[in-house]
Amino acid sequence: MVWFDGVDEIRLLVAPDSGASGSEMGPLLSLRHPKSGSRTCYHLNGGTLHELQWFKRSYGSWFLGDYVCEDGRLYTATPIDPVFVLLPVFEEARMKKGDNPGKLRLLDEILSVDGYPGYQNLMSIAESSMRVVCEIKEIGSSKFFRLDDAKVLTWLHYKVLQLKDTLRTLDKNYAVQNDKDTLIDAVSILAEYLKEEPWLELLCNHLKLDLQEAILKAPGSGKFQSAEEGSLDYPCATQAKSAGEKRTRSGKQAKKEKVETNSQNIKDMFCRASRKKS
Amino acid sequence: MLDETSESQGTINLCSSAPVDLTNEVHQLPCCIKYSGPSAISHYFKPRPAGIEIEGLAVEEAYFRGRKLQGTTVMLPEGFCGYVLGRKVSHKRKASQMSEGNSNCWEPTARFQNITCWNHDSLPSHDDAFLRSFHWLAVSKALHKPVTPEDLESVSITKELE
Repeated sequence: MVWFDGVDEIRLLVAPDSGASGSEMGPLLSLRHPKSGSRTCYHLNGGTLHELQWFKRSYGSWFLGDYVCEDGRLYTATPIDPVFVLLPVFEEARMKKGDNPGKLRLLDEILSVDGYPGYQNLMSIAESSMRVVCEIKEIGSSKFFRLDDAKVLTWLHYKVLQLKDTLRTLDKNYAVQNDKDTLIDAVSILAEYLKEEPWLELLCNHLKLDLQEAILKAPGSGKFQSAEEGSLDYPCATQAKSAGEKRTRSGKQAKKEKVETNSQNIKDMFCRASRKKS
Repeated sequence: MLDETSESQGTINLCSSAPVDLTNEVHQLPCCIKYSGPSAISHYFKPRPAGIEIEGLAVEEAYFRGRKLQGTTVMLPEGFCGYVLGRKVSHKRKASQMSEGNSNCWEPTARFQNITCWNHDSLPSHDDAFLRSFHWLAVSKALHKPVTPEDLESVSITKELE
């Protein structure tokens, strides 16, 4: 009996090592992408929410022992800070108008999103992770949450600083870059998870950066592609289309091969050695 | 198209143990092979060390369809594991479910701790696109580490000092 006996379809996934503890099933949840709003697949495993990405070369396949896999994709499941995912949901729930701070809401009301029952699975995660960006009022046994702009901004600022430090240690290309460029790189990675209004704008103002420069840093980025429907079902309608388009483009390239991924900006960040203005 | 219950969205079950270890046997080729299935790969694909090192990477070489390939083996970053997932065949199908074939339930059939990445016409390098995509794993860790109230206080203090 070989490992691939009876196997119908295969995917390669790199994920945090969860060991062989327990028999917990990890559900795939359909949630709204925090930037594009489109239906996106997330993975809940061991109480942590993960986002799914995939990477593939223009031309690639896998050899796995004595098994060939035509689809050369590598999927990754990486933990995502639930605050990114819940920010737009909490933003909508507070119904802020002008200068008034908006409404305090109960968690299960906030997480009742039309067409997306998956948010209900995030009740305890929401309670623990959103306190860092919310004002919380307890009345009796009920807890009310309301997003606090100042806290969100401080949270975003902290994220940028963390990212900036990591980028510098990543490799020599980032280490020799000047501070401002690294800052912009950090913000443009963060921008993958934030709507322009209000958060990205607020952040750029706070850091005294040009918003357009931050989101347009990588050529081809800016418009977030809807290929974020990263469930493991491949090909699905939208992915096949965008994958096809990408293949044509890269097929016409000369020698340097590109790596495709469902996240435009992350691809450009990590698949080019030098990001000098060309 | 998909119905509303989380059951139909599928699952990835990473907690069940995958008995087979494919470490040192996972190869990313620089070409498309129009086939998926068993093949006597170990009979015709025999990587061996090339005896040279580039940028700290040990170079390997192999021949495939008469072409020389050069590659390097990269360990997955610490804390991560590679899984070969197989789609589980579902035996319970609701009549109301739109079936596009099978369930969306995945289980590991094998594990691996490294990937060997092959180039045609060039030596491996840290600048290789596929290897650089591993950087995402490190960046993601920093980007998504949960922030504590104490962390936020440190930012406020810094702001005051500027």
